[in-house]
Amino acid sequence: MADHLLEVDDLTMYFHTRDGVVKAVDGVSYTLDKGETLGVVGESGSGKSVTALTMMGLIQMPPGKVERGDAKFKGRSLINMKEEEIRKIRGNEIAMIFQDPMTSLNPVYRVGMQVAEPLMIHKGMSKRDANKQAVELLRLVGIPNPEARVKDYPHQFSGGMRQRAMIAMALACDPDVLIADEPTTALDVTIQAQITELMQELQKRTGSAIIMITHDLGVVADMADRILVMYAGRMVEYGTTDEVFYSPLHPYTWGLMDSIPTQNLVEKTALRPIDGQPPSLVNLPSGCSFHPRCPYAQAKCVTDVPAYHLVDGTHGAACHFAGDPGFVRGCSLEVMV
Amino acid sequence: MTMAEHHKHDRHDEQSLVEQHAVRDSRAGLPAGPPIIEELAHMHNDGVVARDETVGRTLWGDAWRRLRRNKLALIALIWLVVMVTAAITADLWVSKLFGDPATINSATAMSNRLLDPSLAHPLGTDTMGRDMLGRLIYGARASLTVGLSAVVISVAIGLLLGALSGFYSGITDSLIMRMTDIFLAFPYILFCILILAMLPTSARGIGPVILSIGLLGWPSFARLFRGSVLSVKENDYVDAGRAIGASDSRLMFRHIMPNAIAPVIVYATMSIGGAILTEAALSFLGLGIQPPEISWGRMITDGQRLMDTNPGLVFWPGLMIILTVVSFTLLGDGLRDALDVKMKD
Amino acid sequence: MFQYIARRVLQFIPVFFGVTLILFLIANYLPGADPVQLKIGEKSLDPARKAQIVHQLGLDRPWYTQYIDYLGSLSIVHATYYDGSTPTTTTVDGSLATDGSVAFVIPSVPGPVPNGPVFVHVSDSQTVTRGAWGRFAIGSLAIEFDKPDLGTSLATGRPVIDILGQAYPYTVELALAAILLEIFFGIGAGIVSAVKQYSFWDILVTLTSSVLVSLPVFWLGIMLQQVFGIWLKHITGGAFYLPPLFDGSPDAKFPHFAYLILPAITLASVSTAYAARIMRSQLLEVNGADYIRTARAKGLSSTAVLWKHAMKNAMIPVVTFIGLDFGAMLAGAILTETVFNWPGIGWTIYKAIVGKDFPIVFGGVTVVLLVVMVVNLFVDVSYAFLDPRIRYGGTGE
Repeated sequence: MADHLLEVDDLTMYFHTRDGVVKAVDGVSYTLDKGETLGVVGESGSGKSVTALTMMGLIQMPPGKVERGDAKFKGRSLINMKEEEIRKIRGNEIAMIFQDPMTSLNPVYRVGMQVAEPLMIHKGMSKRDANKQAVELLRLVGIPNPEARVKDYPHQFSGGMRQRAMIAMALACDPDVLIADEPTTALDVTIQAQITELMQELQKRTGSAIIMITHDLGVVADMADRILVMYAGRMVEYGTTDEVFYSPLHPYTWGLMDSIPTQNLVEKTALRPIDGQPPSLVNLPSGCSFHPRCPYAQAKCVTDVPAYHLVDGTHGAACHFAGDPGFVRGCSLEVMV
Repeated sequence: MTMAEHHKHDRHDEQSLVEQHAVRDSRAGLPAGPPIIEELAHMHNDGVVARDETVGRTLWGDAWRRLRRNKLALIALIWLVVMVTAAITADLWVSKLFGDPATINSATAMSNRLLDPSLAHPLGTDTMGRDMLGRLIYGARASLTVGLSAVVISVAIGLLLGALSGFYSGITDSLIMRMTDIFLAFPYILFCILILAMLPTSARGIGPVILSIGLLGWPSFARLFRGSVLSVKENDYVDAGRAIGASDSRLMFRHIMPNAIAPVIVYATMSIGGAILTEAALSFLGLGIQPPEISWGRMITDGQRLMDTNPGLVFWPGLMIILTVVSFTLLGDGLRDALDVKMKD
Repeated sequence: MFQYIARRVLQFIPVFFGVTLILFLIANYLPGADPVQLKIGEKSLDPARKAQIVHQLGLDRPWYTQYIDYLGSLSIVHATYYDGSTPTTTTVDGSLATDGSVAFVIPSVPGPVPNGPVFVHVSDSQTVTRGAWGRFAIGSLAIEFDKPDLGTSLATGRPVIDILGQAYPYTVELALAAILLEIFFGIGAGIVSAVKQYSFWDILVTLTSSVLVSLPVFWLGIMLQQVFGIWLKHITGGAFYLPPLFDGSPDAKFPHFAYLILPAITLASVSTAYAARIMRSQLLEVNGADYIRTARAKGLSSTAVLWKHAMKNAMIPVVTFIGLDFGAMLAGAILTETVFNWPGIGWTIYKAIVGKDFPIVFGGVTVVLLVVMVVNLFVDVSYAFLDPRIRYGGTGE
């Protein structure tokens, strides 16, 4: 099997704080290949963003600490890299875009300068060349009149345009991996579609891999090749998009599916949000973290922590009963419309 | 559903807290903001209570617990309690122990002047044979009186105007805000100096000092309280109260006040320190508390000439001022953390 | 941006009137104070003489008339209407005071328009100079330029404005020196403190600034005087020390700047502590911002993140603070100047208070307030240039 572009293996990171240990990331594993899109899905607090930040070395250690596991990029361990080395990768081979483009862009610098910055750092371009390239990048992401807009400040852009500018900034050095952390959450629904379309287009052109972090299943349904579902810091389901959407294994995933407003409902059914709230990462429930909210929880779920295991090919879940055909069939009839 | 929404909001905050403040450099270099992960955990430990729900017991009980953990604030509080007790009871015991600190006993004045520290006079005596420690205690009484009274005046005016301004908006608001602009344009000491300088010497004293400091200090409180009132006004439970027909003043007292009062308490505590410094400066210039009344500032003036031979005359009063003001500042800081008030510097 | 500036200027106008009105009310109506004695000194007067003086000073006119006169006296620009044929060097009654009406303050004086400065009556026994700095006439209406009139010193009879004018350069000098110290040490300490948070330096800076902020400035001055002026002299046998008091005479032992050192340090101390705190808290706050995270995700080194991205944002409030602080220092630093005998505005006002020379006190405070208000306005307006969100307002769609 060819080497993967990005290989995350049992990555575990806890925050050691005065009030307890926050198990922010617990045993996450996945792979990412060139041109592939991975959708990482979960509620707020599920650890989906922190996993990416840990890989990029953007978490302060202490109080954070990688307890075990690794993330390898092109065969090299990101976790064990020195700061100077990983800095060369950030913004260059792996780029990130963040949720709120208004606060993620520096308000006192012109947009053009911020887009040009990675070029100057990583490619050693002169200010003039980098700025010229910035204009082209803005054009690439669909910002009209880029020669003029390049001199503007972030507050002079609209929300959608700002996010486009952030994408331009991330793509400046032609990264192999683009990590998008909730890129559309802060935007209007209409703009959301534009941005995801843009990302897909650009991916076709550049061939980069994308990690799409979101709480919105609808966004990844279209874009992603594989989906990783996270809950309370742990991975609960992982597989191809078709696998996860058409034969979800974990009750949490079932719950997420149920709450997607879809147009193809046979009959009118009420949207069923999952009862309860995500747990405190300092004070996780015993056994399976999901058991307090799981409609199908059994005695075993309260006492034993379910390990992630493969059920079918590369499709797996962290549930005691995943893969038990009787259990799945019995429950899913209730869930699927 | 409202509670769940609130809690969902908390969760989102928690997520962005973890992210936001997790972005740091693992070497030396730019650390992220204030320590937050505690906040994270703290929000969990508090359980399912939405943050701005119950104000009554939960807020103050919590606050006291948090304050107790802050050692500096506790030390400050203890020192202040000691001082206040000494100052209040001064009349009862100071004269007996150290002799009258105010009046000059012409019989012993010259023989007793400028004595070195001894058991009878732990900090020595001043140029008129009066015991220094006794004088310092009476000075404490003056300073604390001025500090507390002036701030009480400022708070009273400030709360009233701030409440009117925030609650009624419109023209009342603009007018009052203009007035705060005007009063804030005055450099503090200069204003007090002007007023006190104009009074004939006989009319000066502790009263005018308190008034001039108090009358100038209200704008900050008005603005602060107005801000609190405005933000609290938006909340659901105020509308709910209005829906059941509560009158304006009832709304203000029962619902808005408890929430809005916390920053005022914090700022008031810190202002007492400022008032004490101002009083000391005014007394130093001879415009404040007049002899034979005792003030630390005045003691510094009197001792200035003999700085070379008897530096203690200037040093001790100054030290007392510093300790007292620092205590109020530390206490104010502690209160701010305990009451979880977010105030910009 | 222009909206912002216009708004600020518009806000300034009512504040200006409010402040001058309050000053005026204090001067004339403060309970416990006698405005007559303040203007002519503490003399005992029998009632008849007193009434005469009250009328002479124009104190029996309605308050709004007196207030407008007061504003007029502060102004450099005046207007006078020369409409008659009688020679203008003769003193003539103006139309303003006696009927109490508040027309716009343009006294009407028999003309023709004169060539040099003249004396004009604006009320019974109130004569002012007009045109000493120039005149410019449109028909019979003349626009005239004069020094502001703040009264005359009771002790020396010199115009207050001259006395203040002599003293102000010293205050400006002191303020500049103190501001330089504040900028260098305050910002520096703040940066070090924020970058090495919780380290030894941070704790040192935090503690020191907490103490400095609680320090009585005059006490610090006296202590510094003692330590560096007198004890240092003893220790080094007179070889090396700093002068404790100002000496402006030609045969002074030290060069002028040496006398500036201790007062500047004293004056700067409290402000530096505040500046360091603000710098530190701003930097820490900015650090938590999303755009800093973005900068790091782009691969910038921590130094680059600090100096390029963080500082530019954090500095804005710091610069504003220092600007306002400069204004406060120009307010005369009365305590510092008094301790060191530094002959600036503060010292002048204090000497006048002790000597009961009230015109100087009042004139001095007036001038100081106006300077502070103008500096504050200036700082406010400059904020528009510092923050691009205000400089280029509006969102693009």
